[in-house]
Amino acid sequence: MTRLAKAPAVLAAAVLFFVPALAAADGRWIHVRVDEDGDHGAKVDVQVPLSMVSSLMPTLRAKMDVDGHLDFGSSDVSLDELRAYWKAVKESKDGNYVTVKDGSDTVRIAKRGGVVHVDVKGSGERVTMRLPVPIVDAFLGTKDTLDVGALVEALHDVPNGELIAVDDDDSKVRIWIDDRPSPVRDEDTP
Amino acid sequence: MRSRGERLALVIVLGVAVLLAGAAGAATYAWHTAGTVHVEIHASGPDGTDVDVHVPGLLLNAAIALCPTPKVLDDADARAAFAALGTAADQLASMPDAVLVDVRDEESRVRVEKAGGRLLIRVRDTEDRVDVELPIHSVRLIAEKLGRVAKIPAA
Repeated sequence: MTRLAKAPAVLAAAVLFFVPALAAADGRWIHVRVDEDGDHGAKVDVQVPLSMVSSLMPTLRAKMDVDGHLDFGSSDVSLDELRAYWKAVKESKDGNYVTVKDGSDTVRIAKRGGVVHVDVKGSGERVTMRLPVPIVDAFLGTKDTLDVGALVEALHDVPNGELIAVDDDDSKVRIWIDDRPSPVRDEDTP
Repeated sequence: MRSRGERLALVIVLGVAVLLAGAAGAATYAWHTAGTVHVEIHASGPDGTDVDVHVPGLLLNAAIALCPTPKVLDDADARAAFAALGTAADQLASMPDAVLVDVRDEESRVRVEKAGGRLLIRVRDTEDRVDVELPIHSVRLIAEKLGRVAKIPAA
């Protein structure tokens, strides 16, 4: 169960940050999938209607109060700093405007059609994020905390598709929205 | 030709019969629509147990209705969670059938599914097996009850 125990932790982080944001659009579903590699790896599938997530927003919102600061491991970034970085990104023209290569690691940040694409490739790791500008804009908000309520409002126009994809050495995480629930994957027991 | 008293007695007997039949029909309908709560637990091994319980949903619904609510609820987090559950239950009732949660690894599997007006919770392990089946209506009643608890003011 140790491998299984890892998956919910990843899932919880993903759900806390992204699922609440997708609660606005009725009739659509948010899907979260975590796959650990290997024959014995844990597999996690969670899918719920966005409207249900919206109902649970008051509880989730309380869990997301960051009190003006976001803790990114060793560095502590204030929301104001984060907003300044985001403003620079938002006001840039479309195109590939950040490319960092360091050995085998590559980080690319591009903006196309109102969507910021973040691609990180490292040794055995790949992260892909698709962030619609209005969503991040609303999420960062102007208050002392992340504005989940505004984010929910902004999400009405988010098209279906994959939002987050993270591949690393031993696991894959996908978050996407769709019009319908997905069927159960393999029926293997236990 | 029956006397007036006999006719009156016949009418009363027929009336009572109709009432009893109607009540029985209504009870059967309610019994059927309330569904069944099913809990099955199987634990293998030397100390293993087998539990298989079928309870009419009607009884559970009555128990939920009769369950007393607290007079004071100080925990703000619990209040918010209960209020949210009350609303979420409505969504659960109206959503199409789907597997909501499926977590599995080599040795175990947990699945939460809505299927045909029931909420199914299935846990599989190499040694243990748990199946819980709840009528969605009962889940709604529980959530609505908790929603009412959420409205209780703090002390």
